[in-house]
Amino acid sequence: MMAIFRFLWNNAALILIAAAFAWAAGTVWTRAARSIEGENEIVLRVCHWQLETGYRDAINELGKDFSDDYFKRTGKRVTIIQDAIPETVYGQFVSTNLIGGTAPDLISVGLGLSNVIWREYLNRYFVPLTSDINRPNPFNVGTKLEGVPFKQTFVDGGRSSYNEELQNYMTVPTSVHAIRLFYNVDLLEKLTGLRTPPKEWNAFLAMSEKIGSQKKADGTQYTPLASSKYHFGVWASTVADPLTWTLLKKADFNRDGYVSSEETFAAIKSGRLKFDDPAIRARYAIITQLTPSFPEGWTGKQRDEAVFLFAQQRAVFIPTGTWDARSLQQQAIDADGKQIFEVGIIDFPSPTSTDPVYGPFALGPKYDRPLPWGGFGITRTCKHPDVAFEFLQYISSLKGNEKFNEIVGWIPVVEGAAIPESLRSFKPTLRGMYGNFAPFVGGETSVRFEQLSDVFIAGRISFDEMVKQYTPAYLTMGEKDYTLAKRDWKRGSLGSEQFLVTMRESLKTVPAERQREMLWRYASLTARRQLFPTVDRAYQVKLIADSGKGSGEGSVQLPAPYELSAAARSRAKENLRKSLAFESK
Amino acid sequence: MSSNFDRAIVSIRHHWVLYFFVLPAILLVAVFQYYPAASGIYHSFFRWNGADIAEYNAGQNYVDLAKNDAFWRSFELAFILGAFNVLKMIPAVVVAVCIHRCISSRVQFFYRLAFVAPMVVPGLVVALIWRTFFFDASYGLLNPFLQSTGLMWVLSQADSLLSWGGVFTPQASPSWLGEPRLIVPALLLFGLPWVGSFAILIHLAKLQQISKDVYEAADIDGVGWFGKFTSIELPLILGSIHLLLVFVIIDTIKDAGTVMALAGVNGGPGGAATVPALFMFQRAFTSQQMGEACAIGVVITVVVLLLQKIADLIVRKEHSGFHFAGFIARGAVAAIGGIMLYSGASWLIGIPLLMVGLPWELLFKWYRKWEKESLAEARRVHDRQPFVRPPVRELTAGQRKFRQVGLSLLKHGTILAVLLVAYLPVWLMVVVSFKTNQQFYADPLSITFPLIGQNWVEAQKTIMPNVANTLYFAGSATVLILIIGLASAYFFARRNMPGQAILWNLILILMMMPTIANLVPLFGLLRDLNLLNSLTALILVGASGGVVFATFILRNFVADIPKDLFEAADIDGASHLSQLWRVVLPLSGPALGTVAVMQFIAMWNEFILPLVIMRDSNLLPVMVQLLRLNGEYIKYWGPLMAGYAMASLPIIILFTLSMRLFVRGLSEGAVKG
Repeated sequence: MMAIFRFLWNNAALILIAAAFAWAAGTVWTRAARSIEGENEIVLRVCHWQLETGYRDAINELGKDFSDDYFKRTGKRVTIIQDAIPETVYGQFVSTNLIGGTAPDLISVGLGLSNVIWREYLNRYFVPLTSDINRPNPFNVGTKLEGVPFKQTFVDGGRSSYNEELQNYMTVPTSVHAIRLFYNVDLLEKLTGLRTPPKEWNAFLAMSEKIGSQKKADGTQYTPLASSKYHFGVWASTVADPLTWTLLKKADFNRDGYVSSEETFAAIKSGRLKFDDPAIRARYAIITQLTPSFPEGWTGKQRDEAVFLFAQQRAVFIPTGTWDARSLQQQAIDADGKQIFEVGIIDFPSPTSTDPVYGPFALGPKYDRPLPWGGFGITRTCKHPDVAFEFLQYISSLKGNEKFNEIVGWIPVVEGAAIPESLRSFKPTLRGMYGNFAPFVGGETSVRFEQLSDVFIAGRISFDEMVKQYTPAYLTMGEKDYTLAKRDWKRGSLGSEQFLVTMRESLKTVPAERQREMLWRYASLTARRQLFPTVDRAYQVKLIADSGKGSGEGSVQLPAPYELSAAARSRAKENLRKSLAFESK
Repeated sequence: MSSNFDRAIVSIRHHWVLYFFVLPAILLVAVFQYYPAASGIYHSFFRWNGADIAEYNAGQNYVDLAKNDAFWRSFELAFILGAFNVLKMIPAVVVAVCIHRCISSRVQFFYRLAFVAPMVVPGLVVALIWRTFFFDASYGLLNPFLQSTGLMWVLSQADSLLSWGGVFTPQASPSWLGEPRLIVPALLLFGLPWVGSFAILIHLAKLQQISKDVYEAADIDGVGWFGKFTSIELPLILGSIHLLLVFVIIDTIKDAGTVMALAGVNGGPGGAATVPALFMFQRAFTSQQMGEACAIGVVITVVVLLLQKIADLIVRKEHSGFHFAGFIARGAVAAIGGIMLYSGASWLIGIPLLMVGLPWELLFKWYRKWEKESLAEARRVHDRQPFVRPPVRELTAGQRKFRQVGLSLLKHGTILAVLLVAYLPVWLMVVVSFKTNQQFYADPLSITFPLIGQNWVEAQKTIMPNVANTLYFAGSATVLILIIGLASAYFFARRNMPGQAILWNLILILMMMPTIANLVPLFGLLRDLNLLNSLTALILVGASGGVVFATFILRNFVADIPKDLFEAADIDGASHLSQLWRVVLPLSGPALGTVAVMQFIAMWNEFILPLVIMRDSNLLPVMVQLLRLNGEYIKYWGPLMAGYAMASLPIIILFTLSMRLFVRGLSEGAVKG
């Protein structure tokens, strides 16, 4: 007995290590045995970056409902596994898994990588949903949306799902987002005597200054606007970006209402637009008016660290979207459920058209684009794409979407779905200005732009210095990025060509009464998918190729967007007159 | 020649089985080290997206890199960090000497034990704690410390004198991680008091070899405490400093994890904290320029090899002989360095290149010649004078006591001050782990009641499966490393076999090759082997790196085993396997223990490779899981800190339990310096 005890005592470390290893091996092996997909079980992996309160619960809840429904129909269970990845490593996670062939079945699209790279990934690694999204959603049977094509059940008519370059519907959204300014009502009242902050820009700045000049009992100063680098982006998109709306007139060459990054490149390269354009200058000027109200060291803070200041009642305002509404409300309640402070929600302050500095660019209210972003795409490596799409249909059906957004506390994306009571103040403003500043083309330019922006917002370089440094880098790196984007577009057009060929061939076999309709669709699709993008690209390429030739012979003589020659205007008038005459008949 | 050939044939005929001892190691390094390295070099000449597009571009990646300012800046930063990391080795030496000077062995043991916990807390955990609790401008501890000690005033004066541009002002709280010009100083400050995990123990193991007689003799000769350090202790630990210097250099160049945890994937504001490995990571996984990332990997490897050479030249004093090829190569390197300096391209790169290119051997030779001649002259002068013993300064009993107490206070004070700073992150981790968010908001730094034990229960649910994953993969890999490493060490140490020298050199080169440089091709290899998102991949890759290290360490150990034992075993007819089992294994316990602890801790702390190759959260190693938890938008600080603590506890327990074995291994020369 003593000998055993002595052995155990002498080898205690080894025994402990061996026991720990045995426990670990047991845990890993039993889990591996459990995770093998059974014959009557389908596993769907869902990847997203939505780490807000309730989102993961909502996916789980809807996953269970869907599984029950699917089981009734097929006798098979569906298990939803979530990969909830933080924003900071989301791009890398998506890249490595898509390239490595281990991608989750459903991926939320839009964060962590430049648009060009997302487009490339959508093109290579995702399943186009065009044919499916044009059919009615079976889970809407018995509702007012029964029989309505799936894409038309979304509040934006499916626009956010459609990728212009790939000419395909690629994603299915689940929620709409709107951005607002949250504030601590009690603290605002204590520091300024107001319960509602002013909406006019200069009055808001004056109020912020007043808040910033006051100190807490412990000597620390109050922060008017809780912000981090993330929140800076929110401010920029809501207050500063709309001032660049007028860039449409200089760079929206295809006149689709948005200035794309490629159009910006063509405009900059051809000298039609410069980074020190007055509208862009105004964008940065308004930013520099904001930053003194941010907390010290905000450039080094992460998103949660700004929330920390707000929750600590050291900051009065925090800008964020519907996605944070519930989390912020929770921070204002203590462990016993008692309200610590009241959280108010308002729209962002903005300069008026009479403002001496921003007036020429502040031409109206800020447009709240219904923002169904972060939609899910189905990857090509998905073993059950049909089931994955069904799950998306379920989650974005009228009832499913209501339930999903009720749990997560966001705005439903489906037309007619009830908005949670707490989100009434987020009802979007659908008239007004929006940003048209797309300052980078792809990966290289986005990294450089971000680096210089960081230095600018830290107050280390002036706007002019930033422009001076960025312009040559943009022109050099942008060329490379633009070429890559062009290649991807060409790959997309090949796929589109295959689709059209199939359609052309099927024209021969369809009954005569359907041939006319199909022919019209074929012509329309050919124009939309092949002709217009080709013309757009050709226009851009012409602008880029002719850049630097000056105004002499051989230079680009194309008119600016929205500027029509007299002949074109009269042709347009004539066409309009004809069509009105035709309609009146 | 013929006799050599005959001997080789005889060796192979009688001992061919020895090749099977080294075969697993060779296979492992060939597949997971050499193949990715070769693939990296190959793909560095392609425009490669990591998947299906690979267009040969004839070195354009290298040309693009040469033109890329950000690339050069990343190396400049690595050089700055490297230089400071060398300086950061000093506190470990000081602390080791202070502990060694403690008379009581119990006190020594206590201090050694006390240093274990803060030293082995995983680097990622320390970085995340520093980020939040030290560097934050609003509630971090660094700014209040600088304000309260008046250091901020000093810094602000220095700012206005040296025109730093108003980074420091007396009342402001600078943003250490948000200000482009402060992020590098923040990286330098990180980890204060810089007492590295192994450095103290390695130094202590060396210092233990000094006999008490030496100190007594020094006392009799009137040698002071500093004299003892420079004449007795420093020469002895120079070897281990040399060894650590090599590790520091390699670590600085290959480290991306610390910067990523502190400053983010984009390298902080303006990308000011982008080190080469992080730059490569960005090019590969954010910009999808895999070919260019491979080219960066190749450059990193070359730079590490060059730096290793510099370290070797600087530390080693014995250089002799003249090699024409080496002279030409040096000349070329010096010329490049000179051109870079002259053209103003990058003085930070130019100077080190110039240093590599200098004919150090000749310079040392001339210096020694001059030293010898001047000493001879001095001795001649000295010998002509009559010998007068210098007067020994007699101290009174009171003075002696005062001096003794003063030195003792200085010694213990230094150790305790270092311990205090070292324990601060641990304190914060533990204290916050028992708080609710509201308690944390109200008072982040001190103990508040009631203590919330539920946080640990929640953390246990979130973290323990990942702890199991890490224990499993790190444990399995360590066992593989020990088995394969010992077998291959036996091959290299037991007999001279044909091809042995080549194989040894192949292993030695890998010691210097930074694994991260081959990250992209390794990722491709694992994809082709269908090993992505599996713990097997982590085990195999971890083992392949560890085997190189283990072979390197254990070979010396096996070689030191008395030959008589093997001869006796041979006479008894024992096979090689039997000799390995019955002779080598029983004697290698301490060395195996040292290797096992070092490798296990290295794998426990690894997070870049798992971050890239793992997908499923239930398969993630604990460090990656911590990184994910840290990315939550609304953090629940209590469970998060409890999670940090749980991720640190196993490694603290392991190290505490195995410390004796570890130190014994070090003392017996496991890590020879």
